[in-house]
Amino acid sequence: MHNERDALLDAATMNTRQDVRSIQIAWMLRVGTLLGLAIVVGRVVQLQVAPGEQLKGFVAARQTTETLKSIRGDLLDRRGRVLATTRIGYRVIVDPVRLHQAMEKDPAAIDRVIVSLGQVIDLPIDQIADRLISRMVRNEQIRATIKSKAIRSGSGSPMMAALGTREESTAKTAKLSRYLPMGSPMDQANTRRLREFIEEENLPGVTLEHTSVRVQTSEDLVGSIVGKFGFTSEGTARTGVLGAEKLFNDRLIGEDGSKTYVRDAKGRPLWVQRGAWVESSKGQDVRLSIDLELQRMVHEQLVRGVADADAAGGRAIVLNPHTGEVLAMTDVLREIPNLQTVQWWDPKSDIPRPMMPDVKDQPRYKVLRDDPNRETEPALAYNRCLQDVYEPGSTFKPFAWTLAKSEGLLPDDEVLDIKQKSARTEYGRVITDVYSYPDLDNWDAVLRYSSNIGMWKATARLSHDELRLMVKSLGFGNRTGIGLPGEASGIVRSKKDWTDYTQTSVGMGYAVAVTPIQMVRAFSVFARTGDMAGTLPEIRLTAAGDRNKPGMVGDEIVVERVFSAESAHRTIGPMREVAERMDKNAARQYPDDPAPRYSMFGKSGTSQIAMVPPPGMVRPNGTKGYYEKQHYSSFIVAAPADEPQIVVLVVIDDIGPERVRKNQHFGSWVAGPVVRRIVEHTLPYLGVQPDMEPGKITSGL
Amino acid sequence: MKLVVLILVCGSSGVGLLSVRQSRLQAAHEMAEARHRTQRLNEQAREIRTRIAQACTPDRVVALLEAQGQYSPAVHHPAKWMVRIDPEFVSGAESLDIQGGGDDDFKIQHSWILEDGSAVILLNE
Repeated sequence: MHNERDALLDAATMNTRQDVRSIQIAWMLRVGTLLGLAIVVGRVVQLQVAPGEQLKGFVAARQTTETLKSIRGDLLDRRGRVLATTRIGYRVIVDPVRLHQAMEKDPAAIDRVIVSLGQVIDLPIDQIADRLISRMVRNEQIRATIKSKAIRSGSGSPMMAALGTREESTAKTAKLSRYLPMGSPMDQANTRRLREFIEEENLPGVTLEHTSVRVQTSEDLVGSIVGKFGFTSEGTARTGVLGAEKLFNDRLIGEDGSKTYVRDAKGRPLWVQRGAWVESSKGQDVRLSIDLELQRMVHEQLVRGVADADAAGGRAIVLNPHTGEVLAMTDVLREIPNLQTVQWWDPKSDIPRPMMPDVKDQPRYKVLRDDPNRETEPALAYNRCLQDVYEPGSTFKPFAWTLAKSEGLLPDDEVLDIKQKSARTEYGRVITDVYSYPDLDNWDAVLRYSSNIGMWKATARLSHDELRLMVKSLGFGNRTGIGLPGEASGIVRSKKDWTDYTQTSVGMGYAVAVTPIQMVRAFSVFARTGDMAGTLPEIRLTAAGDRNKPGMVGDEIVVERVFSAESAHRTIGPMREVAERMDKNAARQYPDDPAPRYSMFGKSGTSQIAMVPPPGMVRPNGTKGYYEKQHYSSFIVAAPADEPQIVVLVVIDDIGPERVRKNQHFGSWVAGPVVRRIVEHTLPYLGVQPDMEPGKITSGL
Repeated sequence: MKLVVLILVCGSSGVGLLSVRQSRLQAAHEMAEARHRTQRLNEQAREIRTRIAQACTPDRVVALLEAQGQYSPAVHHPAKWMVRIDPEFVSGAESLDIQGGGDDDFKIQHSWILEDGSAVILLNE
């Protein structure tokens, strides 16, 4: 009995011990499994959150951050035509080190690269090969130099090992060339083709760099106005460097974005983390006041006018006198063979001062400055309407005439005695007129016939201060504020240097240097209507009007009054007759031109071209400061005469000698017909109804 | 048994989590792809826009018309009147013979047939 009980007790004890062990093992397994899982989870978390140094480089190398370049805003013309825009281009970059590595295994790799690039980039195959091979040879020379230095220093073996097997680190330490741009940025089609080549042909070391390309659509017509987009002087960033691109840079630039993505072993994007794609923003569009079609028309007529006059150049501006918008602004330079250069004299030299040849023996001199960039890069051309000054001649007379008239110094009923063609001033200067007229006996006729003698008499009744103040008030001697770089301010004599001689000269449009843009702005005092007549517009290069249209801004009206409205209006009558006389002359000169349909008023001007020696040099003896046989011919008008919508100025530079010999170089002969054609083309385009019957020229007011 | 169940549960949970993560990554990948595709399409659109702008400048349009002999600059308003003619009058007409009242004769400067079948003609004296 006792034994049975003991046996049972022993068995029970055994079972209990076994259970306890089982439970212990089970717990150990559980704990072990959980610990294992915890370790795995911890490791995963650590890998995700804070990978080790060794692993960090690997993980980072699988992430790419790229800048999403902002798109620069477009420059538009006043009707929304694109003048300058941005497209995305891809530039080919070759890594000569990687290509060299690949050639060790596959010598034909370089041939594939050269042939493939030759099909897509704008470089000939021989140039591609030359650039690649020369860069690889230079890299080889660098490697050789490093090897020889290492051997000389006695620590060659590790370096040799590095050079032999680890080109990557060698490239870093020895600054091997690894960035070789090839050609200019490609368009989308060629980019796609090259991507296919890279996939199919295995082009080692060839990559594509994303870049924005600024494109001008009408560079020949508006290049110097639109300007240029390029690198800053430091070469670090791209910005507007010339023209409207520079002027409106702050509005045109957008904001760069960025994208960070994880890529696979081949560099293809796998995914973008949340918040890792920050979109770039596009810059604002800017709508210029220029109308591309008007610009084309004006340019076409100017080219014709310059060729007709055998002139060396020409300039033309069309302005809206009410808003101050520059609708068209263009200039032309024409190649004239065998131009001579004046023999300037250096006062520091030992040679005697040369003598200018007699007038009859003088050749045609080169009077306009060179503009070598004009043909190759129109955006870099001088804008001669803003930068080159000239003496306006008789186109300046209406201003002095209006001032004297408004002061009551030129009475309507005064009878003048200007029968002779020349007169001597009280200070001894001889003033001459080109022609004499029997009816040149009143002040209106002085302006109508552009009499120098009459204008001398008129300005003699004004004080120096009055005339000078008026010239300054019209904006001469100061930049117009159009904002384009390089604008000249012109020349107006100081109060100290303003003599009787200056007073007479300024009345005739001499002794003052102006730019075409200053002239059209000043002439707007006659073209503005109503209460605004006699005031100056604020010149603007952006389109005026609706703020809501893309690229437009609101108007700001600044009134600068020079004359009273009545005085400005009074001058229109004689100027209308000037335009009419020009039309009659043009009809004889160009019988095939259609009869004018728009009335206009304006003034012609002819002036000799001033001799301006280079810095440090002086003119030869025997000159009066002007080229005797070389002239500017200009004509400025506002049209239609009753409600002017445009002011047009044409300046033809350096009229050909044949015209001068025939006495046909005056403004009415040369620039007048060009102005008339511009008016006849421009106003219909602007939707202005004709106000003259064809073939009938209206008489003056 | 409990251990097996525990391991199975943990394992299946892990697999589930991994598959969810994979799906998320797949979706992120597709989104990245879509963004890159959109970016490329935008670039193409800009390029096409640039080409259109370059091809449609006034001087090129004039050159094109001159090459086809159809260019005549509108120096003045070419027409004095513009008349619109309803489709029913246009469809049956073989030629448009237009005369004004009295002695006024008109010349057709230009005429266009519009999409709705009507015609617009510009008349000059």
